[in-house]
Amino acid sequence: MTEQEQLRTPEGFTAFYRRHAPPLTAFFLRRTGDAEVTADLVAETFAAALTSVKGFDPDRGPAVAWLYGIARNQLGSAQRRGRVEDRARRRLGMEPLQLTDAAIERVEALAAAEGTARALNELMGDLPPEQRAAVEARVVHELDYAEIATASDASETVIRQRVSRGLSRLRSGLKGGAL
Amino acid sequence: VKRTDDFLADLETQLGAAAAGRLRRRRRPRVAAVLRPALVAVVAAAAVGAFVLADGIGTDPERAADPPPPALPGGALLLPPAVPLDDCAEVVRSDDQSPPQELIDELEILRRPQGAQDTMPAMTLTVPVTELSLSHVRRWKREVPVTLVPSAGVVPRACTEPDARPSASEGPGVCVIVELDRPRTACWTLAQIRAGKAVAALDAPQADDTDFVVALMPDGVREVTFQTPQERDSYTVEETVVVAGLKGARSGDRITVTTSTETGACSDLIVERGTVPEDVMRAVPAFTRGTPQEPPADVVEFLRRSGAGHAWLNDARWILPPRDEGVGAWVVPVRDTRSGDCRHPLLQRPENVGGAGACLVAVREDEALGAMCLGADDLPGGAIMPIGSRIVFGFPPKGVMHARTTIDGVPATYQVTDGVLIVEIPEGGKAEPFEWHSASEPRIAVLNGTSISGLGASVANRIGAATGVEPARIGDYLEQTRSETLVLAASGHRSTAEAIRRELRVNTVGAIDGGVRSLAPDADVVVIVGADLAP
Repeated sequence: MTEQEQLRTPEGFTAFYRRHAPPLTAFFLRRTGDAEVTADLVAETFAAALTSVKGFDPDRGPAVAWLYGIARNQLGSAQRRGRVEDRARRRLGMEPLQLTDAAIERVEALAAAEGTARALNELMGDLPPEQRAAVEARVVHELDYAEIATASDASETVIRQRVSRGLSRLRSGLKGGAL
Repeated sequence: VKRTDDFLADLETQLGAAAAGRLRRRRRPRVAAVLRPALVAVVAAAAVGAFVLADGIGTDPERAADPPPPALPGGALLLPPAVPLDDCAEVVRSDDQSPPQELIDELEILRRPQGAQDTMPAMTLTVPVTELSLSHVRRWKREVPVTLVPSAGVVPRACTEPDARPSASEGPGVCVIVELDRPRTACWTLAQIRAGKAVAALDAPQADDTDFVVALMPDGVREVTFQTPQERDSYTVEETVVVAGLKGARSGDRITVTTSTETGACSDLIVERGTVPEDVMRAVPAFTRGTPQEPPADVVEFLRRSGAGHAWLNDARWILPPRDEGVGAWVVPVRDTRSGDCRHPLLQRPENVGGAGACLVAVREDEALGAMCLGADDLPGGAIMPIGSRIVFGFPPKGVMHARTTIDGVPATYQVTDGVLIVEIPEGGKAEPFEWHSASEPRIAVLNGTSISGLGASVANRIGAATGVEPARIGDYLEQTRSETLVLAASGHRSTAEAIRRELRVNTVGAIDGGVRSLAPDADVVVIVGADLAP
């Protein structure tokens, strides 16, 4: 099933939402600094995406680019008008969501986590290839040092060194303001 | 308003439900014919300044039966020859004289921009026309090059009757020059082209005994079938011209021409690429605002089935009314359209002389619900029509900004958006006939005096729904610590303010003072929202 076809099914659209809602929340929070406005923008962006899903043209780019195009329009409109549009949500009959303090904290924490993840991703890309592979195998895939050593055709000691040095670089990168 | 502890999870639930309803919804069958004879009466009423929708709303209007399919061009004829240009007597000719517009309107190839290839073939001084404009010459370059020379006067007899007076023009038409073995020409009048009788034998048989015929087909013909005693074959018409290879198609032979259009009774939609006529641009404000964009395929198909004639699809505009209930409209500049079905000139001549105009297609979720079209002459008078029992849409008379009705005894006012009215009656509601209302509506400003985000907008929605007047301004009050809501009115607008007071359950209506006036200089009614309206 193509990305376009997936988006046109309720399940596909929900999966699309799950994948992109957290980073989109971080995107809006970085630009507005306000969790409630961010929540409104996220909701309106996905509602607008749902109402115009038939207009998504994969020849013009991937769905994520289309989504962020809608997001930028919503943000620009909100900045011009001083309020977040709610046309798409009303059109879909969606009830306005008002954030409790707990929800605001969640949004802010999520955005922070997304920011950290983004920074980590960039720092990972800067690691030497053998260190990056070792860190991914140990931290992401949770393999034993022995397994990694066998797969990499290197000694266990060398792998430990690579993981240690890689993690050390990531730590200092984050402390150095990569966020 | 729903309070949430986990925003992303609750939003997922809402979106999932909306997606399930929206993406799995079964499509209704489309309405094929939408314009009813009753509309003619409505247009006439609107033209004298006011209208009443005679049927009222709330009952399904009966739809008139589709008109009987008009006769398509074609028929039997004896093939005339395309004669060598050398045989034509020289015609006294005026140069740089444009052909009549009706000729250009009829033939697609004449409307495309002139390219470098669109020149007269060499040594063709004797083309039998009385007036020639080189800038209107077009060359059809497929398997056989064919040059079209449109003119206000064609003189076919100059090539076939040595004794004929070469100045004897038969009126507007087209001469073609076909470069098969040697340049040959055939000329037809506009009437012959419209009748599907613009066919000639080239009399240049090929090795396999195939003969060639050349034909011009008017706009709207998608396919033409030629039948000779020996062979029958069909050809797709591309850019007006057809060159067909057939056995038994020499001059003097009998040939039968049968044409067809894509949609049967109605002709094909013809996409215009040029400039939208000024009178249409001026008549519908939507055309001078917003972004031109092409409607989705479903809407184009609907226009096609409605016989909209020629359409400037690239210059369409999408209109969403202020009370967005999911129904919007595409407004599309068109040509050769009138109230009625199958308005294409090919099929409803001579009634169809309306020239340029605009079609309005009501749409819900990309699904076309109905369409109406008005010529530029009728647009200033306006017209309105219902679709079923819940949708009313149309073009208002020039300068009119609102339409009023009563729904189940409650007055309702609807705002015109960019020169278009589109209204969805609430489910189960019964609306009385609409009336245009040109007096200006009170201007309402809503100022949020609290720190609750979105409260001003939600109160504005309530006011709009209760009064039928959308607040013109939503903003923040000077301070965000107000506990009680205030409704303030300028002189002469007390009744509107009272209606708002009742809706919001506020105790009294006050007068707009200087401080508030500075925040909303042109407002007739100002609502300062307090925390008492918080959800």
